Amino acid sequence: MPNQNGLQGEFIINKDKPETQNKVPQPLESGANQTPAEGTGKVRFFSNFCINPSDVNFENQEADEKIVLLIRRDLITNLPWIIAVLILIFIPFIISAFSNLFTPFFNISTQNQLIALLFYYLIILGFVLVQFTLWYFSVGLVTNRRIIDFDVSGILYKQVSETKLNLVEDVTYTQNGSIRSIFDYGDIFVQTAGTHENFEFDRAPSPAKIVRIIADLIGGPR
Amino acid sequence: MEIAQLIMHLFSDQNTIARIALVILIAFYGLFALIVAIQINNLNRVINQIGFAAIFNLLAFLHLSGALALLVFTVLFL
Repeated sequence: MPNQNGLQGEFIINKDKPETQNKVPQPLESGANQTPAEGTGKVRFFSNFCINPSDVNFENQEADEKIVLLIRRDLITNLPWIIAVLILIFIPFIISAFSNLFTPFFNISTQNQLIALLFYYLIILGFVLVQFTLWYFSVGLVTNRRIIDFDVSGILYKQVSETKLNLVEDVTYTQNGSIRSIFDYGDIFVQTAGTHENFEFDRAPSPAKIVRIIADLIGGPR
Repeated sequence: MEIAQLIMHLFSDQNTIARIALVILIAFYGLFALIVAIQINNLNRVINQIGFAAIFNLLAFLHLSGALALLVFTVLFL
């Protein structure tokens, strides 16, 4: 009996093939390396990997578009600037310990020294704010329709790239070096068709899980 | 002649030189803090994490307020 398209028999191929475009993965089971926000849908300000985040939205989000994955750089990648800040905080104390050495050359009032000290700590606060901003807004989003990469590499520089899921051909990850293996983070590459731009999620946490979820969404093998 | 003497007086005093340098540096920093606050506000519109966006804006505003307060304090006691 012909179907509604007028086709029958061997002409009907993949009739029962499920729609992969709008497939949303279920939250994964909690593992030893997962952060508390993983799999719960609840996203915190320090979350770097969240499946089905419930309270995040983005510019140009369509009404029926659902965020499946939120990916930021792994938290451990913030360690260098945090260590730098901790060192910078103690520098005025070190200088004050040797202040007698400078006294013959510099004769600045206590009031000026206080203003300079406050200014110094304000600069450190600004440094923390900028570094955290760069980490917080450099985010990769995988929705049930597309992949979006927000790349903020400077306070005045942002790049937003996106591609539809059906244009994604391949997704791979690399994890080289002992630090990346210990803390389980790596670079994820999303290869798109033809001349479209390829995507890179830099230093993403749990890359194997992310690759598996994206592969599921584009209809690839588990 | 008096102007020259005034300039000589200003620049012979390390305290005054330090204060002028601080005013200039803090003014530039205030401009930077303003740009950071505007950018954070803009980026919060691009991707909005409900619950933290407001706190983020508040932090940026406090940073800007701190820079402006320090500038006013420095200028007032010049």
